[in-house]
Amino acid sequence: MHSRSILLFLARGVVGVSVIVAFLAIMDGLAWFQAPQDLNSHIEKRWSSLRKLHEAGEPVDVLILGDSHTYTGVNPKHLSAELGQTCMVLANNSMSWTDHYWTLREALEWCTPQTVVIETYGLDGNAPGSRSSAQLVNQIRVFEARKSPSLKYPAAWDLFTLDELAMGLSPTVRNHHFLWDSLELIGANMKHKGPRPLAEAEGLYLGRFIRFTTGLTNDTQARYDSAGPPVHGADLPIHPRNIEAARDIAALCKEHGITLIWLALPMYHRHVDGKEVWMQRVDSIRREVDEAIPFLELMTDSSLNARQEFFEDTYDANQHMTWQGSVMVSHRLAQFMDSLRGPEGINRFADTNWHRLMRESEGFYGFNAPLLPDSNVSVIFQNVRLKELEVKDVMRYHDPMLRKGMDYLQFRIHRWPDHLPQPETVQLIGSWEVLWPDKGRVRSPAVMEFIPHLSSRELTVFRCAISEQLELKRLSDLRLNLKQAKRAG
Amino acid sequence: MFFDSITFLVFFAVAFAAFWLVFSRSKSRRNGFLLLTSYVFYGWWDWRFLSLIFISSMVDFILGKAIEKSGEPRVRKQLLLVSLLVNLGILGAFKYYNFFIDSLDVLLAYVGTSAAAAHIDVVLPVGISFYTFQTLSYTLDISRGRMKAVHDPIQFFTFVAFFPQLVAGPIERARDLLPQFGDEHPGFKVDAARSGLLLALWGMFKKVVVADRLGTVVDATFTASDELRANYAALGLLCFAGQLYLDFSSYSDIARGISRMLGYRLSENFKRPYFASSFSDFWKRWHITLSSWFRDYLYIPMGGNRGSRVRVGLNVMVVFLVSGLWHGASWSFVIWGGLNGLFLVVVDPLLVQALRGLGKFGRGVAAVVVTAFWTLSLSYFRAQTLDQAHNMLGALLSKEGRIPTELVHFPWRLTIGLVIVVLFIELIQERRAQGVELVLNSPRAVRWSVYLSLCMAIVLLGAYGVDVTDQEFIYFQF
Repeated sequence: MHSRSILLFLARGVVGVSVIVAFLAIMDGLAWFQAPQDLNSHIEKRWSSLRKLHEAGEPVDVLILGDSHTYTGVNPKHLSAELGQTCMVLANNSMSWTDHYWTLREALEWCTPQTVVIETYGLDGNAPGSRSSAQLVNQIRVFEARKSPSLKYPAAWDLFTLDELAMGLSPTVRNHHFLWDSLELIGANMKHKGPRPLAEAEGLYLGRFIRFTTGLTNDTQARYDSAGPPVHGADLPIHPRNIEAARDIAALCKEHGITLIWLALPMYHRHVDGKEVWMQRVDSIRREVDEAIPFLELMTDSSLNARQEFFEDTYDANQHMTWQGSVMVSHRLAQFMDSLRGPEGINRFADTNWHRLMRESEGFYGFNAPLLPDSNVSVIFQNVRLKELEVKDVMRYHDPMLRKGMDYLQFRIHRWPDHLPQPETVQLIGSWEVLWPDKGRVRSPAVMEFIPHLSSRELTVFRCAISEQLELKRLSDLRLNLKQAKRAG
Repeated sequence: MFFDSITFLVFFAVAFAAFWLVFSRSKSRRNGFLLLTSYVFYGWWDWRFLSLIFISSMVDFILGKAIEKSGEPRVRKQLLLVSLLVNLGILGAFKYYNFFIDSLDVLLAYVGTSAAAAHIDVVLPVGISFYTFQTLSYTLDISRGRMKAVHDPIQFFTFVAFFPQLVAGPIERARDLLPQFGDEHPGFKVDAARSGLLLALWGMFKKVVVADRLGTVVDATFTASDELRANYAALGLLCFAGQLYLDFSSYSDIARGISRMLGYRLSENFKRPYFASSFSDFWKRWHITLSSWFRDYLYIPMGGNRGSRVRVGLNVMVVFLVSGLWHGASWSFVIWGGLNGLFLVVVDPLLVQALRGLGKFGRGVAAVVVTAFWTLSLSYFRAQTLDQAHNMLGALLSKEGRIPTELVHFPWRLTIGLVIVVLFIELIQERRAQGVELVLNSPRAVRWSVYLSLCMAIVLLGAYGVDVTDQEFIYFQF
């Protein structure tokens, strides 16, 4: 009798809780408490873009996971163009490695990458229970953008604390405050009927977000002088859950035959102290997880971390890379990945479908001669010897990142001759006969600079910007101008 | 682990089921299980503080038996002194040490020296003031011969650590609560479980839906206290009076409710204090278990109502100054306590005399006056600094000032509506005393509607969320 009445009371409690959960599930289904659509949601755009690529039968070869450092610091279009693979950044702000694991699992339902690159900054915290409210908001947004029902619920237990769970799973619980402050929004949602679709990007979106261009200013340099570095790498805690997630990610990659690469993006050298200790710690975790995982550690690389134009102008702990920095990092990453690419590695340089997909992307013609007719590009010469230089091609093309009305004129030179001065010390000057719309035919020099992020051991690239109105007729002279000699003179 | 968290909900659901289905049959299993769950509950904040509660319990368990055993009054006094020194010593070290060092530092500054080096970084263990007073009531009562010592350590340790009331009361007397952990346990009663559930849900509603919402106004006005207009200063203070009552009484309601669900009775801690007809009546309705603790263990031993009016007044002032310090180690709490002592000693006789013979109208006016004075004193209770308290009181006379930004789009209508609902229910309880029974004796459909409505109100109207600053129970800081 005693036990029966207890069980009955407990059963009634379960019924009561079920009624409440059912009510919330119905409300969630009706989407009355759904947040207004953010058309600029880069988080949603990444997922809708990945699904769109899948539906279009376009393979994604490289997935890049990480946080805001990654989606600002790695330029997937440049990386794709240089590698000859489709690379997608699936990074989201302030995400932990636990989230990376679930992101990867869901992404594997939509693509079969050959390589996964994971940026290591997220190892240092942001685990459930140790997040700020802003980080929790991000986690909820990221979680909400993933839609796979078979992964959503197991992921929720991993990504939220028990107290956060209801907010993570139910928009009604999360946005119940609309009853207090946004009744009109509930009205609009009632009219709309049903959940809204994810925000979609126009054109090909591979996940980059925010373009910092200014670089560090003298004001911030002065703050380093007065206050020292804001980030103390040696003190950054590494959450044990992130280490567990690192193991899970490595196992998942192994299971799917994916090459996993760890990447540490740089911060400005004066922004962080103890970076060597920090990176040693990250590396020791990598070795603990799997010694065979390749690690591209750029944090301590002075050719990157000393360049103030490569870093966002901020003294905040979270310092991102500028667009210029991201282009250089992508180049370094591409070279690193290329060095790991075996003979069976994917290479789509000769794939017309891939060209069709990528050709309007920034940086594409910096690395690729056109395979398809394209009004944005013209090949002026191919495979010619000009004096001592074996020119692979001379192209004129428009790049989306270049301002309107301008084109690039680009020389790609095979194997730079050893006896010549190093390319970074010279300018390549071509004397052209050109046709201006109103000036007629004139002779004009084009001064081209060495472009390190487009160059490799095999190819040395010089480039300059020219007016799109300018019609190039004939190259009559090509010479090198020693920059150092000029300065010395 | 806060009462208003899902973690606690799950914790309690599991503990409740396990207690009744597995552990309720014998005293040792009941107490062992409750002690374990109570230590898990307390250790959830910081497991290191478990050592303090363990030391307090151990010392008083041993001393309680020693006091009872000793026939020598002098030895009994000495043993009691040890209990007082250990318990108040731990409380003093964690709660008051820095306060005295900082105050000394201010004084020493006049003679050109400093005590700042003696300041230590220490975290105040949650609920230390509550369980210290609770365990002290045990040795005090044994030394006075009012109760017998228990010989079962688990029973005693469970009494000290009983999780529903461990961190914010009610402060139970050993002679009331300790026997409930003995052989006699009422067993599972559906009516008690239902009424406990209703009380806990009501407490949760008051805390999450109303008190925390008022807390937004309070935070905004006190933060902007140096540039407020009179109406907003008054609003901030009134909202704090509401928040403090609803917040603290809700904790007591939840504690009493879940204890009742486990078959234990806790004392009523609040009896609608804002309906009090005098200051002395107010203190019989507000934090009753603390007031009666001070009455029995401090006020009466000092002489209580015996002696001249001056002597009685002095006794009252001492109790209120100590009560202020009990609440917090700062001068603002001392002033708050002092002011309330003065209200009782000076204003109360005048009020009672002025409104004598005016019947219900007089009681209504008295309730307004008492609440108004109390509300003014709360400026010192809530303010972070004395300057902030003075700014708040000064702002009551200010014709100029700004609206705090956070309140520009504040949902006043809904908030006022909810306050009216709570006041209405309080009024019913004041008139009929057994408001809970009204619901419990209703048909099942009505009962279920009430339970589910309270739950839905908590979920849909609660002041919680990602962007909402967590409002801990105010009395946790004491």
